[in-house]
Amino acid sequence: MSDEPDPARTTGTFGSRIASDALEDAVNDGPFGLVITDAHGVIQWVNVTLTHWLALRATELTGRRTFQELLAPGGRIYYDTHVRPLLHLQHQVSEIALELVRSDGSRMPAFVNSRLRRDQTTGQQMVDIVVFDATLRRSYDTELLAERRLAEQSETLLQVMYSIASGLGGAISMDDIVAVVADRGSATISGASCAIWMFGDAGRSVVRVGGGRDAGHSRLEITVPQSGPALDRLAAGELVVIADRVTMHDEYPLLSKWMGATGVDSALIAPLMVDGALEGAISYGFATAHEFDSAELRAVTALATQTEQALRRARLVSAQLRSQERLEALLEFTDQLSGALTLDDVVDAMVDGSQRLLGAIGVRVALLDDTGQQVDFVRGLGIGGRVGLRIPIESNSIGCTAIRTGEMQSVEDRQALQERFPDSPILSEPEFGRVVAAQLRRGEQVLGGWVLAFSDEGPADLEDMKLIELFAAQAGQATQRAALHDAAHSARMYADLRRLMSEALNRAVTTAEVGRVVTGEGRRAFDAAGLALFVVDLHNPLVLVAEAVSGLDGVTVAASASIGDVTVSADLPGWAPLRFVTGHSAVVAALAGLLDGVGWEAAVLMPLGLFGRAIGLTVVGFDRLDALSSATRAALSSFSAEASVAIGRARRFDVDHDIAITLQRSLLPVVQPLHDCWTVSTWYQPGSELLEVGGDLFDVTELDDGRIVLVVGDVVGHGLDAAASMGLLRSAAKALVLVRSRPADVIAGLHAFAAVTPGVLYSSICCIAVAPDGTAHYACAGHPFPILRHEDGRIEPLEGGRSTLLGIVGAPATQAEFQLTDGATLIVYTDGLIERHGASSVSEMSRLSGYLADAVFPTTAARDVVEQMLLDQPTQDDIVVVCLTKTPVISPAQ
Amino acid sequence: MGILERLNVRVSGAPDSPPVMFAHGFGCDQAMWRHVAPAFAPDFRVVLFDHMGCGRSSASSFDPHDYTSLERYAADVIDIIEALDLRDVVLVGHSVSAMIGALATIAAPERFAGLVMIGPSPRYVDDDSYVGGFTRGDVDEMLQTLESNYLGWSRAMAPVIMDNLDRPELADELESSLCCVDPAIARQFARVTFLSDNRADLSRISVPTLVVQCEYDAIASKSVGLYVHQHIAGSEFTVLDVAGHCPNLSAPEQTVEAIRPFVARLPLRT
Repeated sequence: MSDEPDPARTTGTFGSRIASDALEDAVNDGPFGLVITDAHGVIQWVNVTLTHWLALRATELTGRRTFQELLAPGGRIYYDTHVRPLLHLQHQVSEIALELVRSDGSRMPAFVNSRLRRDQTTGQQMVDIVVFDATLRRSYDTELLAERRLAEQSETLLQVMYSIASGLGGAISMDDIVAVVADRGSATISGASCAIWMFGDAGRSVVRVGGGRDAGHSRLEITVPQSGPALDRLAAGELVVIADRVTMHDEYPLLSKWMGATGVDSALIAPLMVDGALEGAISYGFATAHEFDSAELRAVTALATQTEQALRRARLVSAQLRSQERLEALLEFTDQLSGALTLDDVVDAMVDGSQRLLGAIGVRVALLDDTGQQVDFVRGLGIGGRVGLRIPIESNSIGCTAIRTGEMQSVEDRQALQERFPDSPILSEPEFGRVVAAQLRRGEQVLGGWVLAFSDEGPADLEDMKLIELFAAQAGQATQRAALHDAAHSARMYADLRRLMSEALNRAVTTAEVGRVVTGEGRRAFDAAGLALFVVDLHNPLVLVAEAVSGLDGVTVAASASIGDVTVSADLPGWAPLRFVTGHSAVVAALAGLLDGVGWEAAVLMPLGLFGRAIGLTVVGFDRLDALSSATRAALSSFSAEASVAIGRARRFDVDHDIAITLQRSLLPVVQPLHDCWTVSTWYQPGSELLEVGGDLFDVTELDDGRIVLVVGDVVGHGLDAAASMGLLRSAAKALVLVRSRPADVIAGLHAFAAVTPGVLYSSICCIAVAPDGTAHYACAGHPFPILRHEDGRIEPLEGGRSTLLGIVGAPATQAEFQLTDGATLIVYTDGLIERHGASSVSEMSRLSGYLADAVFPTTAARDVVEQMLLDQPTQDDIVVVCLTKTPVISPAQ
Repeated sequence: MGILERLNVRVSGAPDSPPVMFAHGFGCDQAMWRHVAPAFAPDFRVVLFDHMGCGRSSASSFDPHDYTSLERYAADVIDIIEALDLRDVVLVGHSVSAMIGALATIAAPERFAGLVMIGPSPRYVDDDSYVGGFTRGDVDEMLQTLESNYLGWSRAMAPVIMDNLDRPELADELESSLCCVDPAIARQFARVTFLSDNRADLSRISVPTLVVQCEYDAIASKSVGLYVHQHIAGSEFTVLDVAGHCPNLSAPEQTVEAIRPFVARLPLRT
């Protein structure tokens, strides 16, 4: 152990022994550069080795240069941004690979270790930097790095290619392919932005369909020349490689300029060839100059090839799908048309098919009018669905041109439409692309046209045009079927209408009833939007008054209008033919002053007249512009005639009815108030709702001596004649009551009157006179027995004082007597009360007795009796009931 | 994850005081401000953060297609300010963050009271008569240096750092001081930083601005600093008598003394 040196001692001895010279030599000339700088990097001391390596003198460095300045610019940035911060934070940074620059500008690869320390004497922060020559090591490192990068790149590329291949395998549409390439393609070359472009617009432009994020979205269209160095190269199937746009400017001037404008300094463009034609390209762009290596070129070529194959496949699949879709669309359209029974249905199917099956965003169907000079837009949907528009066939619109020429018309966009067909109404719409128009024909007859607008622009696909033509042909055939159906339908409708009107008129008697039938049923029969009936005022033949309306909610109907103002009245003597009006504004104008606020597209003004005399006006309105087919017009004419007859008849009835009502009102008695001891009630029930006049009569007279005389009678027959006779009989009875107070005398006088007055012959009548003390006398000429209802409810028929029906010669007049005690009631009635259809008088009589036994007799008692006996059943005969109750008078003395 | 977590935002100092926000430059993280930020803590609310891909930011949310411009980094700054609902912010930006900060004040001037640009450069690459200090080749070389050091060095560096833990109080910091640990992100940030041209934006800066320039800076030279000062109307210009690009680390006291009087003159609400 003793001959082993003490390590500390030996080191110390050795260190101190050589420190002065060898150590200084080693520090100065050793195989490493050594630099001491202040905290900011300013060189304070540098060893000889480094000055030799850099071929600089120490005096050029010390206090004058920073260490950073010895570094190549790239390294300088790195040192200042990475190494020095670390040095300050960690006090030591090792093995940094940097390059120093020699005085001749050549580079010296090095590894650099540095340390931050505080100088013990000055207290200043100092940095010690040791530099090792790493020329060989660095070239080895660089090779390693390159290989490693290559390996990593190959690995990445392999993964990317695999990912793209698997993605493209499942891509069957153009969109799918674009999505796969744009999403995964950028990874092919690290740091590159990948985009996929397709030629559009007949090669005049190229559209970025995927990738590229500069503008926030992919789609970008740029105009390109027909040829050029880059395009020619791509068309030949070769890559365009631009490592640096600045140096390649002469070779690709346009492309280089465009790259400069978009911040791309290097690019790689691979062609996409489908069936030998250049269809598009895949591009890789870098923000910096970039030398593309062979692996990158191979990868991009492979990616392009894969994309081409996918595109070819997608095109085949898409073509197959399209023809399959077209076939299915045509089949479905045919199917839909087979269910179309009317021209309306056919048009509906066309509109629906245009959108659903052909993918149009706008569609309109226009039909030639009867004159063949105008085209009416009957149906539309989506943009341009301007129903109600009417334009001359000579217009230079795309639809009219198709109708005139019989040839399909097609324009690729709005601009082309504006140039070729400036009259096209669709030009007022904001958004549309391609427009196609076809003629609609039934055999040799041109019906109209069909215009379809699509959202996309560009020339129409020939197959699509053929499909639309087939649709139009199918629709034309369907209209033929529909026309036959329309004719049959109209005939049926007409027949139905006649039956309907006849039936309705059998039931309807008054003008009001006929009006209800005409408006309600007529509207339903013609599928009209609304219907109004005006009739000529009975008292003023120059004024129309509103009688009935249907379906006119929200419409202002004039209560009356001067017939001279109605636009149909041009030839008033014949009261004008029907007038048909189409088009909303025309309808509004024609109806001004009669009906305001209608939304109709078509209307008919039908004057009603009889024997050359105006009796009214019917207005029928329709929502559809095409409602007035010739069949409908014929049916409307017929309807007009039917309605005229019906209204005419109803109005004659109304005139009679008015007179009868007036007469009856003049004949019916007015019962004066009686003395307090009497309670009287009367009721007259007419036998017919239609003709409210009958032959029944009644009268109540209070004589000066306090007696009450009742007269109730029934004249034979119905109608106006009976009413007139009843008036005579009642007047005669009244006169007799006033001069001969005994009932027998009154009846005898009436017998004599009837014998000379044919209208009242065989009438029945009853006359009862009651004194204030209740003593009563009565006489009846063939009249139903009056009834005495005692206070205790006992019913007693008054069977005395009988004679024959009035006017039978030789019949003596008698009278009988009874006592009307306090609380008892006398009930007198005509036979209508107990002679009812389907029931015997006997049973009805007992029903009446049963009711009266329990009844009370207020002032409405007579009406109660009638209601109780009728029980809401209609009566065919008039009924009169008079009830008289004697009320006990309480005198104050008692 | 919100912006505050994503960008490792740290708020310290006096809570209700005007905010000073420090934005680190390319190459490091918020640790850069370790000697500067504490000087403001007594009187200001101090906001620190790591740019996307740097320090302890959440690199998993980094989308290379997203961060392609300095405006994008500026948008992060504004997002932080909005998330903290800050007003009257004094933004202190170093190196590239001087420009990022400028873009933030242009985008949302109502949020800022002042801007301090330390070692700014609106364009690093020479262009016709303009001298940025570098060529395109230099930048490419820098990217290569970055790459060789990340591949060869950064992984090997970690044990050395661990061995160097004679100051345990730094442990936390050291761990995060690898700065931009993801080479791809670092490369992207470098490309965006050194290839952008924001000269035209200088005249659009409307908030009071102080330009702090090192007497000798190899990355952003004094002439570049003067160019920035001359193109920002009403800006102040201070030269630190030091060399280097990181005065916040090499000369923190001088840096603080340059900033403090400028901030003191700003009309800040307290």
